[in-house]
Amino acid sequence: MVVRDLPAPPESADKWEVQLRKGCLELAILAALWSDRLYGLEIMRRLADGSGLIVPEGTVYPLLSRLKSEGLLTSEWVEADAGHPRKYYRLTAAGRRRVVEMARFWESFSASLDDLLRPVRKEGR
Amino acid sequence: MSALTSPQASSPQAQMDAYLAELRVRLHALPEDEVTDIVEEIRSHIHDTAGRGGAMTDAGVSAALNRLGPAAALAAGYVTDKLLARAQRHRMPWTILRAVFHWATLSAKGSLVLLVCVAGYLFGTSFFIAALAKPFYPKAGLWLIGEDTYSLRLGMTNAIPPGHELLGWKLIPIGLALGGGTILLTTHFAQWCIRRFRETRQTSRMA
Repeated sequence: MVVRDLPAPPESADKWEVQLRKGCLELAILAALWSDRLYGLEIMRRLADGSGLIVPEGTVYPLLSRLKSEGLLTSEWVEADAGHPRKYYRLTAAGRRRVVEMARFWESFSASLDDLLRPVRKEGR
Repeated sequence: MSALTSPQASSPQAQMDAYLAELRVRLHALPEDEVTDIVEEIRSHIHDTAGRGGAMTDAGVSAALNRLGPAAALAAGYVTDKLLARAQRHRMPWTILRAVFHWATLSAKGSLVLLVCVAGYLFGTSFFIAALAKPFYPKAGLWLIGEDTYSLRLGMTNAIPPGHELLGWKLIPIGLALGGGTILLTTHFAQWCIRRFRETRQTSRMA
């Protein structure tokens, strides 16, 4: 599946939703690399398939470069069957620690938000 | 998109090369090996997205480049953060101005910070230079030339200026303190804005 074939986020997605997606992007990228090394396009596909996170292609590459310069990722060029080399990323030890911390925070945060949302969900039905 | 990356290019390959050439130019603020790494990664991405199962087509490359966005915006995504990070480490006004200038090309907030920085540094350096010039050019100083009109003169011409000077030799301590203080304050302000900007955002703002 190719990123461009996936449905675009709804037009009505307001600023809050856009900000939320952006805010989660770093965690999503680090998490996508948890068990495999992946190249840029594969990361985007994995985000789109796994979490419906569709991000502009021009945003992901600079972000990968920043995560690398922060020491959370390393990269290597690999000759591929496709006939051209691809740049693969993998998590460093610091990157693994960071994603574990982020995931821990995410879980406690979403659990407490869930508590707040319970009455809203009940009456919103 | 600029003329360089317009779809008039003669072949898919030429179209891609033109885009990458523009990207390379726009990344010039970064070290050469980093630029090559980025350009090759984007080339690999275009190869992967522009052709379905093999050869690239004109339409495929156009669509792939459209999804990547203009080369200038893509380059800004890389360059701005690097320059801002550098400005956070090295507190030289020149490094800061350069970083904030790039930031200003991306957002209104950046433009505002740039405006304040340029004004602050200009004001600060003028007083600093006037104070340094005073021993050599005694006419240097803050002059009152109209009812409410002040003029800061460096006094390097021999012409006798209209109006009268306000600070006299006190210009030296006041100029050094005011000039140096303003430059320092501007630097601190810029670094505070940069730090906040880098902390609050998770990713570049291209959406």
